[in-house]
Amino acid sequence: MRTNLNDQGWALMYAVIFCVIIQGIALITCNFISHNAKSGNTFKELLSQQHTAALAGMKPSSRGFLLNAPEGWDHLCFSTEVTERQWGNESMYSWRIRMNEQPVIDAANQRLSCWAPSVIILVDDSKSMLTSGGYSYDEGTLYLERTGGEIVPAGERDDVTRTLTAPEGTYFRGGYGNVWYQAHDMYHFGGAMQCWTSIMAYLTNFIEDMDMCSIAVATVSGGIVQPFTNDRKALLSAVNGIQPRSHESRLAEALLRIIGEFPNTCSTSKHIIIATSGIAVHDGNIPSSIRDFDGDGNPLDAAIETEGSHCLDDVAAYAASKGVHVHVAGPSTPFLKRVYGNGGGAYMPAKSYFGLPAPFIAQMPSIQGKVQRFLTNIDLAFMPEWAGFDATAYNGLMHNGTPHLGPVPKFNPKGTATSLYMEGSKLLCATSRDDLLSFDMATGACSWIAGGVGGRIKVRNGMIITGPNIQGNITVLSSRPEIGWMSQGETFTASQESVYIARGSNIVAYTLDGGMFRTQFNADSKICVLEYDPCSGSVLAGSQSGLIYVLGQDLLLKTILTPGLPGTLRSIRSFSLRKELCIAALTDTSAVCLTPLKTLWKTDLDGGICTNALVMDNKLFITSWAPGDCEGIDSGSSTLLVLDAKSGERVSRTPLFEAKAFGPVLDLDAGVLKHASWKMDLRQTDISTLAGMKSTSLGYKIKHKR
Amino acid sequence: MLPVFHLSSILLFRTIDSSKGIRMDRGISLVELMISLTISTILILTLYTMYSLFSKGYIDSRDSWYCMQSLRCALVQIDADLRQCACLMPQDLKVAAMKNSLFISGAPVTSSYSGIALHGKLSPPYFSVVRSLEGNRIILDSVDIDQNNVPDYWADLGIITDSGPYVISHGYSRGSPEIALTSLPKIKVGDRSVPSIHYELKEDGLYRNSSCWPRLYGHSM
Repeated sequence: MRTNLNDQGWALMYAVIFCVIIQGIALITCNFISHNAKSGNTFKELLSQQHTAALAGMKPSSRGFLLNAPEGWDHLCFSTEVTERQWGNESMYSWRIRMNEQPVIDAANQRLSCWAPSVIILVDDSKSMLTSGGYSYDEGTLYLERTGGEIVPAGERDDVTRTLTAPEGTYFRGGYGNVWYQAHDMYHFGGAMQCWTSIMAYLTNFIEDMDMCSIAVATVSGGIVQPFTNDRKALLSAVNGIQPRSHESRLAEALLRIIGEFPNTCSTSKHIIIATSGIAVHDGNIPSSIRDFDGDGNPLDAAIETEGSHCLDDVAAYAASKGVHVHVAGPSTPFLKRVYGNGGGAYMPAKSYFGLPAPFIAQMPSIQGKVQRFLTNIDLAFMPEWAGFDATAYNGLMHNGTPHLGPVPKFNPKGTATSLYMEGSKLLCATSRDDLLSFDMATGACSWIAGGVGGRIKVRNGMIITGPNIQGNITVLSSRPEIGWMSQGETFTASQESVYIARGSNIVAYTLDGGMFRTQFNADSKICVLEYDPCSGSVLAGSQSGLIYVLGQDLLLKTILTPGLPGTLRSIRSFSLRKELCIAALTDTSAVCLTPLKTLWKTDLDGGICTNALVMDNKLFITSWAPGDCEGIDSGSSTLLVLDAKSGERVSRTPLFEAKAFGPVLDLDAGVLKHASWKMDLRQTDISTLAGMKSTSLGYKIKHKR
Repeated sequence: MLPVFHLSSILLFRTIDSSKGIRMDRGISLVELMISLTISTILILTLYTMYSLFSKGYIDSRDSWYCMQSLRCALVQIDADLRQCACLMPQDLKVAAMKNSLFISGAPVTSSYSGIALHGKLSPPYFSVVRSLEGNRIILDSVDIDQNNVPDYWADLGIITDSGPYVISHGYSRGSPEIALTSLPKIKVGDRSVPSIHYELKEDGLYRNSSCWPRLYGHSM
C-alpha cells in the first residue's frame, strides 16, 4: 500500500515535471521561431527593396526622355536628354546635353575687302528708251506693260497663258509679245522688245548677281537716286522706280557728273554701266578739254541741242583715264561699242567680267555626325561642289492669287548662302537672293529649290518658316514644299504652335498651321530682336529703344527689362540660374546679363562687334569681330570671348582668325565648337569638359514594392 | 536511488498518514525538519537560478537578435539611402554631416510616396530655392521639387542646402512652403535646398528621420 501510493505520487510528479520542461522548451522554441520568422520577413522585405538584378547580370531596359534645357544652358539651342536604365525595381538615370538648333545668325554683311568693285548704274530715262533696242522677247518669259507704256520683266505667275490685264498693267508672254507688243523701231535697231525692257531685265539680273559689291543707281536726268549700297531691295526699288519720261538725254554730261561719285576707299575697282539706247538729246555741254578726249575728231563731239551729240565716248575715255571702267547696256550699235571700248569696259558685262573671288563661305558650316558641309559660294552664288541637282524639283513663288509655289524651269540658285537650318537629316539653306534649298545632309542631293522665299529659317512641327524675303514676307511652308500662309514682317520667332511676327513696334501671334490671328502686342518702338524661349514659354522682344519685353505665349506682358546698353540690341539669349530666367542681351559692342529682378553684370566687348553668342554650362561664349577699315569678312580679327554667365568675369579670350569668324557650330559628339573663316579654315575649341557633354549620372532610384 | 527521493518519500508518507487520521509512528524531528527545509530551499533556489539563467539567456539572445537584425537593417537601409542619394537632384548636394548626424539627400520612398520622379518637361536636377528667411523658418519657392503635385518635404526629414544641413521640425505641416527648422539656420536667400534622410546617433541608439531604429524595428515585429 505504501509502495503503491509512493509510486503513483512519483509518477504524477514525473509527468508534471516533464510537461513543464516540454512546455518551456516549446514556448522558447516557438518564441524563437516567431521572432526569427518575423525578423526574417522584415529583413527579406528590406532586402527586396535593394538592387540585385544588376549584380545578377540582368540586361537593363532603356528609355530616353528629351526635356528642357538644363540650368546654365541656352534655352533655345539645347535640350536635356535623360536616359533611364531599369533593372527590375531599380532605375539608373543619366543626362547629357542635346542640340535643339545651332545658334545660326543671319549673315548680313558678306562683303569681301579683297573683292570690292564699286558700280554706278547710270540709267537713261529718256523717252527714246521705249523704242526698240534690237532684241526680241524671250518666248516663255512674262512681261508687264505698265500704264505708262514701258514694258518690264514681271514676276512669275501661273495664270497667264498669253495675256492678262490687271490693275498694274497688262501681262503677256514673250511669244505673244513678239507679235503683239512690238516696240517702235525708230532708230532701226530691230527687235520687238523695247530698249527699256531689255535694259531692265539686264539690270535686274546684274543687281541680283552682284549683291556683294557696292552699287549706286543714277539717272541721266536726275543724277544719283540711290547712293552706294549692298541692299538689294533698295537697289531694285530704285531701278524699278525710274520711268522713261524725260524729253532729253544728256548722256555725256551725266556720265561726267558721276565719275566723281565713287568712294575714295575700299573699292578694288570702279565701274559705270550706262544703260541707254545711245541716243543723246540736248547733250555735250561739257568742258572743251573732254569733248574730244579720244581725239577722233568727230564733228559730233560737240554740244547739240537735238539728237546726235557723240561726246559720250569721249567722256568714257576720260573716265577710263581716271580709273573708272565704263560699260554699256543697250543696243549693240557702233557708237555704244566705241563708248565701252574707250571706257575700258564691256558690253552688258556679266558678273564673270569682274574677276570673281575664290570660293568662300559667309555662313557657318553644317555638321551632322561625321558629315560636315561648307556652304560654299562659287562665283558669288551658293553652288557647293558637294550638292547634287539631278533630281531637284524647281519651284518659284507665283505672284498671282493666294501665295503659292509653282513649277518653274531649271535655274541656278542666285546669291550667297545666308541662312541655314538643320532638321533631322535635312539641311535647309536660304540664299541672299531668296532661294530656299532643301538638301539631304548625307548625300548632298538637293530635293527641291523654292525661289522667292528666302530669309532666316526655322522649322517647327515640320513646318518651315522663312523670311523676310525681299518683299518683306515671312512664309510658312510645308516640307513638300507648299506655301501654307504668308505675312508681312521684319523679324519673326516661333513656338511649336505659334509664329510671332514683328512689324515695326507691333508683334502679332499667328497659329502655325493656318496663319490665323491669335493676339498682338505693341511695344514702345521698333522690334529689332525677337526670340521664343521654349523653356519658360516666353516671347522675348528687344526694341530699338533698348527695352526687352518678356511676354507670355499669348503676348501678355510679364515684365520689361532695361539692359541700359548703348546701341541697338542684336541678340538675346535666355537661360536659367537657380530656376530663375536670365537673359543675356548683346549689342554690337556690349553685353549684359539680367534677371527680371536685377542686372547681374554688364561689360563691353573690347572694341569687337558681337557676331554670335551662346550660353553653355553657365558660361557665355561670345564670338566677336573687329572688322578692318572696309568691313570685309576677310579683314579684321575675330576672337572667342568666354564670360562667366553669373558674374561676367572673363574666363578666356581666344583669337580665332585674322578675319570674321562664322560660328560657333557645335559638334557635341566630338565635344568641340567650331568656327570657320571665309576661306573655310576651321578653328576648334574644346568644350568636352563642360558638364553634360558626356553622359552624367543623376543617381539611382529603387522603386518601393508594395 | 538518490537520497532526495528517500526524504521526499518519508515526508509524503507521513503527510498521507496524517490526512487519513492514522496514528503516526513518530513525529518529525527538528533535525529532519531543518534538513528538509534546507534541501527544499536549495531545490527552490536551484530551480529559480535555472529559471533566471534561462530567462536571461533568452532575453539576451532575443536582444542580440534584435540588435543584429537592427544593425543589418540599418546597414541595408543606409546602403539603400546612399545608393539613391541625390537621385535626380544636384550632385553637389549629396551628403552632409553635422556633429553626430548624417544627411543623405533624397526623400524616403514608401508605399504612399514614390520618391522624386522624372518630370515630363523640366530637366533635372530638381531642387528648391530659398526665397526668404525668418527666424528658424525658411520659405522655399516650392516644396514640390519635381513638380508632380506631391510635396517632397515633411516633418522630421532633413534638408541639405548650399549653406549646410538642417532638420525639419516635428510640427511642420506638409505642403507648406514655409518650413520650420529645429535649429537656427545660416541659410542665405537664393540657396538651393533638397530634402534628405537624416541619421542621428544618440545615446539610446541610431535614429532615422527622428525615429529610433531598434525601437522602430521592435514595434514593427
